[in-house]
Amino acid sequence: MKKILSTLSLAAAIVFSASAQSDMLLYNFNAISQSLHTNPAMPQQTKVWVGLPAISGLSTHYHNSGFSAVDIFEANTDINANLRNVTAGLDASSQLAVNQTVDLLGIGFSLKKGFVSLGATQHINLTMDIPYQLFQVMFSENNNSITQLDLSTFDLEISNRTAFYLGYQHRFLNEKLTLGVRANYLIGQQHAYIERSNISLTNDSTYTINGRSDILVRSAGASAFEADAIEPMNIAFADNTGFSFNFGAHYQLSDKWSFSASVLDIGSITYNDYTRSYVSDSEFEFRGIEADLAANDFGDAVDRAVDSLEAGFNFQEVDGDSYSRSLMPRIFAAANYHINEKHTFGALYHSRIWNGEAFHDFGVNYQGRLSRTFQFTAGYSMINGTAHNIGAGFDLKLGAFQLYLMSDNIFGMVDYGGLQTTNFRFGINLTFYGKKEKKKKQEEAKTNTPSQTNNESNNFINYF
Amino acid sequence: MKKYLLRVSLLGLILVSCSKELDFDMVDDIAINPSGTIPLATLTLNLGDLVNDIDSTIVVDPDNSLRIYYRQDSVFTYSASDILTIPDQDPFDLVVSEAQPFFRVGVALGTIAGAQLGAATFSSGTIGMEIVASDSAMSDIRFELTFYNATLNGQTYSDTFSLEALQRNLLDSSIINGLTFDFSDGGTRVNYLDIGIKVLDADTAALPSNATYLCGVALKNLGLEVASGFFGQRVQAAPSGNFNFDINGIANFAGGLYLTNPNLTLITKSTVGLPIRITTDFDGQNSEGTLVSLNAPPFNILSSPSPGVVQESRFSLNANNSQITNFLANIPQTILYAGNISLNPDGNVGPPNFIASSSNVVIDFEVSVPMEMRMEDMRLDQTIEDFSISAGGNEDFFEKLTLYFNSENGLPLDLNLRVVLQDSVTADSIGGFEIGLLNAAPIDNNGRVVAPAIADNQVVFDQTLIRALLRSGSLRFIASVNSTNNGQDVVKMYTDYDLVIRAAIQANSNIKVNSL
Repeated sequence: MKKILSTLSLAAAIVFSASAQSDMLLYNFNAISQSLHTNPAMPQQTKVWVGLPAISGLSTHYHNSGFSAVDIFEANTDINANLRNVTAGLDASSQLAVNQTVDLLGIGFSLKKGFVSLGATQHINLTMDIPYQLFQVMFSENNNSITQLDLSTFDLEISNRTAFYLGYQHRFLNEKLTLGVRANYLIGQQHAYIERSNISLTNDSTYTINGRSDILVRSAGASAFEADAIEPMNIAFADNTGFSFNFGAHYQLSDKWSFSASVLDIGSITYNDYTRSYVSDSEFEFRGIEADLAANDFGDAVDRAVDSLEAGFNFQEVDGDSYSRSLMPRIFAAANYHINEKHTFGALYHSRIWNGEAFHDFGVNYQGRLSRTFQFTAGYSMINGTAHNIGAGFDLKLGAFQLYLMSDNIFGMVDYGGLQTTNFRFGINLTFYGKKEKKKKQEEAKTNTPSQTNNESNNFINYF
Repeated sequence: MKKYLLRVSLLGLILVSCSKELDFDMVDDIAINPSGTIPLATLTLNLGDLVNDIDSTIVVDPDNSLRIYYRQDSVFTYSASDILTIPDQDPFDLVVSEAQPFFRVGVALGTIAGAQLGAATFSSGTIGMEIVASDSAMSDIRFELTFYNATLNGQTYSDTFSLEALQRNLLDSSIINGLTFDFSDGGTRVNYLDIGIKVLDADTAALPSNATYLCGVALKNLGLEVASGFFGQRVQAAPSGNFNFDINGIANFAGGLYLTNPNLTLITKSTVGLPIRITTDFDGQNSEGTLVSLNAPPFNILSSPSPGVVQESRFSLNANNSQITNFLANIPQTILYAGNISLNPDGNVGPPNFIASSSNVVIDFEVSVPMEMRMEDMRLDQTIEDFSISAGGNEDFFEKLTLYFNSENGLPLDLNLRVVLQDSVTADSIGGFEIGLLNAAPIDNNGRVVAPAIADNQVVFDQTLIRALLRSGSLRFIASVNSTNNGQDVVKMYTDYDLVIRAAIQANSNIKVNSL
């Protein structure tokens, strides 16, 4: 039962997971303060922002660079031919990522030349290589031998963690340059990843299988469900902690051009509680049932053969080994062209790095700051090789309440059959903008007092 | 703003209308088709290991050649009682009276088959005495019985029987353990008994006048301690029986094994002082039930020269005096034996026979055959009954199966294997395959292997054969073994001969997901 619970907890993490999101539209959409999640230096429109607990930010991201549902289940086609085609298109770079983020709490407010934000977010992530070798074994007409299987390139990581953050941005150079930093205190509730999966079964000859395994799978948290009395607080606040930092910059070059960049999730978590490692380090040769005809000892020959296989892999469970795991760093870089104070076009590059491998996203977007009540963004992205991602999003301000909704692939939600990448972000904030610039100027004219904002007038992104 | 929203909605509808229809029911049609080459077995055999078995019938000669050696002790055992017994004697009637109170007579001991005893000591037995008087006496009457040619503890044997006063009948007996008889009457006779009875002098006066006493003397339950003489000329059936004769490694084969120098020895040990001739009937029965007779000629068991001395006689059966070649070529699993024993087959010639109670004749059976042979169509025919493989309703689970066999054969013999798939109901053949599993290793002029022979075989189970396999209820294996050069060359077996057989299976599956 305990094993089942621990397995279910990992399965749940997969089902509800989300992290290394693309966030291709969120990055430049500073109408909502959640844009600070992508760049702590992103100038904010609001003076004060309060994220309503649990509903200020819900986002889900799905990315499958290998195939879509229609690739397999298109009606009136041969599903086995479809699977063969899908298999032929898979390789070591094919990846599946499912992430979910929940803003548990958030608050932000502007200072004279800065902006402070703090809060907590919950991240559930699944990132894995699609095991194309298994697809080949199951569906390929060639290369489908289970005894030529090599899973050494297979990686998988699942995590469920809470981040408590404190961010600050400050404007320099007459507010042309904004630098920001966010510090995150991290608590990992569950985590598992494959550190090594060098496992192979190969026929050195027709009569011999050489098995090689150098496997290390680390996990934390799942074994907590095996305890006689499950302690929720011990799980939620396990001694699996760490820090990470987000850095960002934004520079307003001219009336027309602005540039920004950020580096996120530089840090790691050290897992101490409920850790368990699955280890296999062996090399063996399997030759089937080995029997001496003279001994006439066939009675338990099959059992011996099975035992030799089990002993060959030499799987062991090791509890209690602490380990550290870096987060998946992300990089954003953007350039924006401001037609006027309401309309902006931008280009964005995003990269995430996992197990030393970088995955790249590119996008162009439009940002329409039409009014305080309604702002809109749309864009086109190529996310880890999957094209045709047309995204859109908006925020609607109803009094102090700000409702926002966006997706990097809105048509993926409609044409879900062809979906390979999409995300969905939704939330309700309490936002307070302060007085409009026009009113400010009128008031300043009346008082004939020079305004500090005279020097800021070129910063369209702070138009509101 | 309204126009904008309208355009976006319209675009969405267009995209929805262009999206392809999905059919998730197709998941039932998914077939996964992994393949794999899986080693099944690696079987090894070193002929030298065969002799490690403590029950092995294979032994190693000094030059590391192998030899079939089998010995079955005490196949036949004849005890003294099987050879010579003295039957219970009819009563000898002796009559005494007042007028003739003493009576002595010489009589012949009854024997079997004309046995002529010169002397004997009885380990057990009784003398029975029955007296019938024509009139009773007023006082006890005592009678003294004497065997004048018998001694007990060095004294002539006498015993006294008493007829009580007023009684007319007496029935009594006396134990005569250790009584020694000289039946020869000074070397002039055989089976001679000298018996006398008399009324003791002190009782003569008490005899009623005209009274007569009829005395019946009988020897009963005689057990011989020792005996000598001529024990007769007769034929006696030997007890029949059988014993297992498994030769390691080939016990389940039948026929086709031609040993170059077969030899079977019958070893007898006799402590009986008489010549015996044994006529045996050995039949070997193989795994198929085929009987082949050894046809061994009669052989003589020499007489022990003197009491207590074991006389061993060996009689060798070979290709010249028996059918041992065919007998062993049949690869007997069971040897059935019967026979008879002739005592003094040539009559009363030679020194006197003698026997003691501990004397016996034991016959051992010994086979010692160098494994120098020719094998020509040595067959194994075995059926595995109640064979069944369930495909769980998915007979197409495997598209094709290929069995691979590789042998590295250091034995000088071919092995051809035929497997017959038999219908579960009718047992008719519904398919099968045949492979040359082993190629005979080449040999030199002395019949010794010079290098192993490699053989690679594969058997492809296509859909037809797979379906036959699933239908079959029994598997019949028919193996045929030939020595090098199709069974024409004589080969020798040595301990350093090795055999490695490897088997693997390559499976191309076609597994319907909905059948799992």
